[in-house]
Formats: sequence, structure tokens, C-alpha cells
Amino acid sequence: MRKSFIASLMAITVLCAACGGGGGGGGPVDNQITVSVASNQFSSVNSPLASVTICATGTTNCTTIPNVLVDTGSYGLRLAASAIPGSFPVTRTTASAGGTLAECALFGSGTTWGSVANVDVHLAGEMATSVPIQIVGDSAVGTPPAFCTDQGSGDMSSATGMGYNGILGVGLEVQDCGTDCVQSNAVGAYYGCKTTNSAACQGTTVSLADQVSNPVASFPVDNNGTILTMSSVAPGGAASATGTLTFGIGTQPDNALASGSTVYTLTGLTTEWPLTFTTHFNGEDYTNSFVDSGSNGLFFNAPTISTCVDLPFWCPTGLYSSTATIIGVNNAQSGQALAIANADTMIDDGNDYAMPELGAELQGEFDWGLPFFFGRPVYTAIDGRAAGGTNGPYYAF
Amino acid sequence: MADRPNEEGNKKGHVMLTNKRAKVNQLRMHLFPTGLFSRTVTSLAWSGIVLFSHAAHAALGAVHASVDSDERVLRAARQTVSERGYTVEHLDLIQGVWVKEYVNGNDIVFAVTWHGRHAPDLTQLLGSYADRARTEARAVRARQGGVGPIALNDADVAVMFGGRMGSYSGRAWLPGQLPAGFNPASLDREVQ
Repeated sequence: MRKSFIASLMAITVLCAACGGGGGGGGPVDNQITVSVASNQFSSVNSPLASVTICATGTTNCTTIPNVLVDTGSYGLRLAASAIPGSFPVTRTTASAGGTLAECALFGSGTTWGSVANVDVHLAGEMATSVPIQIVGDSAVGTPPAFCTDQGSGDMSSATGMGYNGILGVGLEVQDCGTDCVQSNAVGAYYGCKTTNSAACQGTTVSLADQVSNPVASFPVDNNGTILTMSSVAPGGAASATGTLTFGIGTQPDNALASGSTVYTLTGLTTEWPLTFTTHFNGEDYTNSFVDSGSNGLFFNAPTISTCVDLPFWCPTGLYSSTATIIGVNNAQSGQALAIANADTMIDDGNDYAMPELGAELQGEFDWGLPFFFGRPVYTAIDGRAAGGTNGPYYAF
Repeated sequence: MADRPNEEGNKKGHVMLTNKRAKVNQLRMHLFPTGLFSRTVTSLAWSGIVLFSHAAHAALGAVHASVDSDERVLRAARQTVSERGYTVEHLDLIQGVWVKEYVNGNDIVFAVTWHGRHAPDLTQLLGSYADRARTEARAVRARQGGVGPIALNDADVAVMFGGRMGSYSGRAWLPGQLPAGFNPASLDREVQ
């Protein structure tokens, strides 16, 4: 099943490569890839996974990597070096400080260290030409140095470290650092490595063009955002859920903003609490709120819910259900139902990978993770791009 | 996360402390918002931050004077604000990171928070708790999965690594060092 799926994806890819990648010419571009939450080699639950095809720039020398996390909370494609065949030609970027350009990318749950290389990224009929990606755990830039792991909560610089073969960051921004890294060599993100002794890598400035970038933003068309649409999952969980990642918002008949969806605009990237909306819950306003398909649960502050004994999730004896109000910067508001069930029961049965009621205690923010995505389209519009009549960054649902 | 029974006790302790969060003043005391820095000064000040990051560990659990080291190592603009029963040291880092260190009546840093579009050097901020927090975070992540936030709750220290790319946030506190009546849920509330 998996093999035939990959084969069909490759077929699409080859077709598109034959088109020359110009895009936008004749009929509508195939702008959807399949996303699956299901049993996987890493046993990662509530993780929307897709296959991504990369090609050596300007060639039909391509490889398809399965089990890549679709992450609306980050920007840029990151692939584990171990998931890329040794025969695939990787042309690493040279840093302005000299040596190979390396990056320390930071996630809520840790850091990925690796080199930067340009490839063509094919997703359905779309192609991002020569887009910088991160080769996570690339031995060419050595092992993760302390100055990288110091920034995060743990090293994830391998496929097993990430829990995926890679992370496809299709979130709100174009580059993963932006102008800060153009202007300063000391943000902590980019380095030049002249040897494999990573401790000796030097901080470097890096142009926007060389920063690891959201491939969607580089598509010739359908480049203003994405729609992640996941099937609904019955309470208690299911073995799998399927969905689609659609490219573009309001650019094709299949990606118009649905009449039932509302746009929630966000704070700007340079504000003190960037890219957030407000969640009103239990009498408190959590201004540090966001939706994120790369978070596999609902993470918020509810100390009355019991934590599991042997899992870092909640384990209420009965179903916990409540409502919260999401409030955009544009004052758009909606009530959202949320439910938390016993993670022990859901995870320990070993069959379920899609869990709409998975969550854990977290203070200081309200993270609407994958459970929020089940059963509805969630639109993520890229910062500064017009999308369906409103400029990003915004979410719509 | 080895000591789960303690963790439960700890959680209950938090619940008991909810008698009105210490009403923190509505001080939006950031005298140095990013916009006020000239970029020329910025680029000079930033160089070398990485190289010096292990000059001295301070912060969580250390004495009040250790904030001086953080201010220097993190190249921060500092503003000290007295609250009822504790002091908040605001450290505004030039690259769009806001750090706060909370100091109790015994002059101990009992909590730290951070947020912004980049992350600070957490080894510097978590001090002697940094290695342990990372070891536990890796273990939690191995069971939790995803690339989202991680929360650790031990009897003596709690750490929450949150946010996502472009908007990071987090906090750590020492339950045994909280001022009387202080609810950790109120950390960072003075700007929310």
C-alpha cells in the first residue's frame, strides 16, 4: 500500500518534471498532497505525515522521502540525512563567514543541527525551484554543538530524534529566521563550518535567499498559504485519519476560503508575542495562542485535569469537556469545543494513532495542536501575502 | 520525571496556591523595545554572544547578583521592577527576546521566563538545572512525540519549553522558593 502510494506520487512528480516547472501556464496545477495520521515506523501519534519528493536542482534526479511531518508551526523543509539515499547529490551552501552553511533550528521540543543545501521540492504538481532545505544530522557539519543544544530542550538531530524522516514546515513565514539573520551573525541560528569540528563553527550572517525557506512560498503559483484538511475522528480515537494539504488560498477553484470559515489575524513577527491570537478560557485571556499541526495534542493550563502516571499527557478518569473562545487580532471570535480523554486508555491499546482528545498541561500559552485540525479545513496564510482578500499572517477555520 | 508521586504532590501544591495570583502591577515596563535600538549598536553588541555563552552560569536558583552575569552574557538591556513580595528583573535581548528573572525575599532567583521570535541561551538561564531539564525533556519527548511543547514537573523544579518557530516561549520555577501566595500560572502575566 505504502509502496503503491509512493509509486503514484513519483509518477505525478515525473510528469510535472516533464512539464518544466513553469507552472501557471495551462490548466490548474495539481495542488494537493495526501496527508495521513496512521501507524508509522516511529510510532508517532497524532502526526500528519506526507511524502516529499526532492530533486537535484534542475534535474530529474529525484528521490521521495516518506513519513515527513506536515508542520504548520515551522518554516522550511528539513530531512534527516539518513533518509536521503547516498546516491542523491547534495550541494551544500557556502556560508558568508566561510565554510559550509549550517543551521541550528529550534522547535518547542528541541533543536535540529545540520547543513543547508538547495534542492527542487516537488509537492503534487507544484515545484519550489532551488529552495534551501536543512539536511538534519549531516556529518559534513559534525555533531550538534553545545551552542546549538543550549538553545533548546534537547537534541533532535536525527530521524529518531525528530520522530520523523523530516519536517515539512509550511507555516506563517517565508524564511525560518528572516532579517535578523541577515543583519547579525549572532542570532544563534546560522553558522559557517570549515571542518567537521562543529564546536569551531562560526556564527554567520545569511541572506534571505540562502535561509531555509517554506517551499510553498517559492511556488510560481498557489504560494500564499496552505489548507490542511483532516478527516474527523470519532471520540476515543481511531487507527488512522486521512487528509489533504492544499496549496494556495483563493487561487484555484479547490482552495477558496470556505463560506463557513473565519479569518483570525495575528500579531506581527516583530512584536513581543509574535504570530499569536488570544484564547479566552476559564476566565483567563491567553494572548500567547496559536494553532500548530506539529503539536500532537492540545496544550494549555488546566490544573484540575489529572496527569497520567506514565505518560506526559492528561489522564482524566472521565471525559473532560469545555469550551474556549478564540479571538483574532481582527476581533473575529468563535467558541471552540475542546475535550480531553485518558491518554493511557487511548495510547495503551496500541492501535490508535489519531486521537482528537489528547492533551497535556502547559502554562503561559494555549497551543491548539492536531486535535484542533480533525474534521475541518484550517487555513494558514503566509506573512505579507494576500490570500483570499486578507493579507497573511492569519489562520482561518 | 522519575519521581511521579512528588510530581502529583507538586501539582496539588500549585492548586492550593491559587489564592489570588499576586496581583502584579500593570507595568508595561519595557524601556527598551526593539525599535529603540539602533541597528549599528545592535550589530556590534551581538558579535561574540555565542563564544561567551559559557562564561558564567547564573539564573534559576542562584543569588540575585547572578543577574548581573546574565545581563552581560546575554547582552541585555535591564530594568528592575519591584512587585509586592518579589522583584522582577526584565532583560530585553536585542534580537527580539524578552527574559524575566523573578527574585524572592531571600534574594534567590525563583523563576525565569522567556519569549520572543528567537530563544535565549537556556543553559545560561536554567543554570544548574539545565542539563537535568534536557535529559528529562528528551525522555518526555520520546514518549510524547511531535515537535510541540514539553512540560516537566519535578518536586523541586518545573520547566516548560513552549512556542514554535518564530514565536518561542517558556518558563521555569522552583516550587520550594516561591514567595508566599505566588501562583506560577501568573508568571509573565504582567505583559499579557
